Amino acid sequence: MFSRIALAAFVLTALLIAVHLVLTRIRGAREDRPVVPSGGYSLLLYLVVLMVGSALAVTGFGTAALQGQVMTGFPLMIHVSLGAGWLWLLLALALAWAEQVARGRDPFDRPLRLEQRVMFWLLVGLGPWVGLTALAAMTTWADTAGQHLLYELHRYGGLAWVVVAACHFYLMLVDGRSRRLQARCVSTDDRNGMAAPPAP
Amino acid sequence: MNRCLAMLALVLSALVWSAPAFAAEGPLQTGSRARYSHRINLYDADNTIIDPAERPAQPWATSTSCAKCHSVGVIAGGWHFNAVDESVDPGRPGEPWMLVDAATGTQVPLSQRDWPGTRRPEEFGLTPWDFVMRFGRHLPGGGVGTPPAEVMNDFSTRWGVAGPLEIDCLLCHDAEGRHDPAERGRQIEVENFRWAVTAASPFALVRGEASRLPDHYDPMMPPAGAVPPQVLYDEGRFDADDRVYLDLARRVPADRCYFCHTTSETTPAAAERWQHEGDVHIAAGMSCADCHRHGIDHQVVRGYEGEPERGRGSVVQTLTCRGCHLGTDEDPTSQAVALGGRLGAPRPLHRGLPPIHLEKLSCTACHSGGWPGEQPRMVQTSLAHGLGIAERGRHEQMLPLIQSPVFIRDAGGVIAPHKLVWPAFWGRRGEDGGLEPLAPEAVRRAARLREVEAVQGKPLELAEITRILGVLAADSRASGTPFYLAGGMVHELDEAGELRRTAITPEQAEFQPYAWPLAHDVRPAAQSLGARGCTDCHASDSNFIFGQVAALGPVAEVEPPTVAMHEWMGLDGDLQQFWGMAFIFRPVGKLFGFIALGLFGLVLLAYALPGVRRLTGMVGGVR
Repeated sequence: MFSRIALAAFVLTALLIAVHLVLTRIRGAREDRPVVPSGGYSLLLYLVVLMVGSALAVTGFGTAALQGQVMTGFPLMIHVSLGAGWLWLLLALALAWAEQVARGRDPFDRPLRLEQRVMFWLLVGLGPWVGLTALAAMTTWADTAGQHLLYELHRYGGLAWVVVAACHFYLMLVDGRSRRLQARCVSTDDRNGMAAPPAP
Repeated sequence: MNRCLAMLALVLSALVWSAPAFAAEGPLQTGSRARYSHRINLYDADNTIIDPAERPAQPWATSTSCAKCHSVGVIAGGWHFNAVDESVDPGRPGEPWMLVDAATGTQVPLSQRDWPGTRRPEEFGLTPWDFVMRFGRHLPGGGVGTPPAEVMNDFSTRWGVAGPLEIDCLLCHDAEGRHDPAERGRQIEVENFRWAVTAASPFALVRGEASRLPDHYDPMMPPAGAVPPQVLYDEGRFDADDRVYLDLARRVPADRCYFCHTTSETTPAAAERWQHEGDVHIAAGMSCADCHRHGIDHQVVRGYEGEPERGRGSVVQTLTCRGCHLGTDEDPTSQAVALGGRLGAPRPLHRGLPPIHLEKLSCTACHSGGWPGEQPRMVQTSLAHGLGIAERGRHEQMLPLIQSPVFIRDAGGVIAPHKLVWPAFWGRRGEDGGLEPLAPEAVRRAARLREVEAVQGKPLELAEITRILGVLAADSRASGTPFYLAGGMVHELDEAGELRRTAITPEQAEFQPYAWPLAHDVRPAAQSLGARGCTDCHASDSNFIFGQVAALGPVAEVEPPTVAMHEWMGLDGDLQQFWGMAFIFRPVGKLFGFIALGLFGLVLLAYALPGVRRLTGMVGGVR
């Protein structure tokens, strides 16, 4: 017991130092940067979350859908290992995006539509659902019936997350494309000497 | 006309008189749940009442004495007696008989049932007579012990002298504890088959040995000097009407079952008998027969999942571990029974156990047999080692060498603990690949070996194996290449006459070890695998997964090859190593997981609470 606590303490300390170091560097760099978080890093984080989420979906649903059996062996091991990282990555994404989304802006400080905001909060909200149902199954809280319930909640929560993530990603893509089109139209109009209509 | 009327009247009167006779047919029955007090007359094989004072007295027979109330013919088709009936579904592999010969290093699982991995007695030249002489000590009678009339009357056999080995009802149903199964075994050894039931009874003695009678002995015309076994009844146990009280129980005491179904660990480090409680069910006051039930047909419920119904209905599935403790989805006669909880069986919670374990593992994997060690333990059983018969010189290396528990994935894909034996026998291999096993007696004769007590437990030297193979190869009357299978290795002579040892391959089905599932002793929940956590099994040094099963055989001088437990289960060893190592970091992983969840909660609360405030403002009309 003590060795485990000690190990946890060492790892936690190392992590705290690392986090502090990173925070200090970020804080030092903030003075000459805009208040808006860096869109590039946030986007990268978002893409990593999606990639890890995809791997979890493949290992989780792939074995069930393709082989018709529960996940075991290497797929299960990959799933469990990536799952822990995914939870922390999603938390980081929430921390990086939440304030901007709450203000109705994306990480690039562009306005967000309602469905984008809803999808974002679903994306973040389903994370703890999926994580908690997985972690609770690893404790002695639930008996066999409870374990079955947790398993089902985990599966359906995971499925919902994958669906929401796909929708969110789609909306992000569509929104970015429409903005680029809009920007291209505006620049063409400028070249033709047609001024944009005045704002109401 | 008058003749016709007279005939009709005669027929009618015959029917009227015969009606009560029909109604009175069938066995006597009380219909009560109370135990019947068996104060009864005993009958001999000719259905004559036994007079204890008569000289010479006849041995009493169960086939007549018990048949007054019980359908002996129906009982004779029961599981304990029907091994020779090829129409009976053999079900999953069970404990075989073991053909053992220490002098030739032979240990072969035998069965008349079609259990893959066992061999038929006749392959080793064992006739029904030989079989009874060898295994009669633990045969309950009937079946192979009661051959057809033409065999019994054949004067070229000894059956006519020894008589049939009838089903000994008291072997199981004696509640008095004075029936002597060991004495019965001794009587069979001296060919007193007909007298065995009587000799084992608590009220009779048998003097004399049928083995001393000549082959042509005829009890109606005994040759001069031939004295058949004599029966002496204890007259004090009989009342004035020659009735005797037998304390018999329908619910057979566990102690009776243990005579044939004892498993004893013989590993030197094994705990002594006083240090363990045995099966948790028996310790709680149950009896074997509480789960292994049957009707008058004696089709004993073996108690495993998927057991053939054999006319007993799906209620059989409620008498398995799972059926009793968890209920069953089957459609038994009684819906209440389907819920489980028979005899107050507690419903296990299995807190923290992912349900996949209940699909991939049998209940016995975690709850039954010995706790897995680095190697399976050596065990001895009643059927294989003659436990129950007092004998000097018992030791842990007595053949056959049986290991337990070995965790094996069965045909249904479920991992269960098994007992396992590696066959060892001599034989000849033909050019077409066909095998001809050799009877131990034939090998002993050819190699001039003596069956002496001193060789018990002494494994064969390689030089001795080479010599015997040489002797068998030199026999010009026999064809095929002689071999000796032992310890998972085939021993043969090469062209130069040197011994060549080759490991058996999975393709050599006839050389594979034989394993049969074990179910007892059941350990309590607190002593089950996993009671201390996942690392009872999921660890890189787990005996459950990485225990080594040695291919044990009666061969000296060589280190036996080993097979890791995960190979028996069909699991990837590397994956299990990784998986086991992952469990070292799992507690830390869980801690960090919950920290992440806590932070998630804070983030969501931070942004959800203002939303709630705005919502209450909107509802209250305040902007």
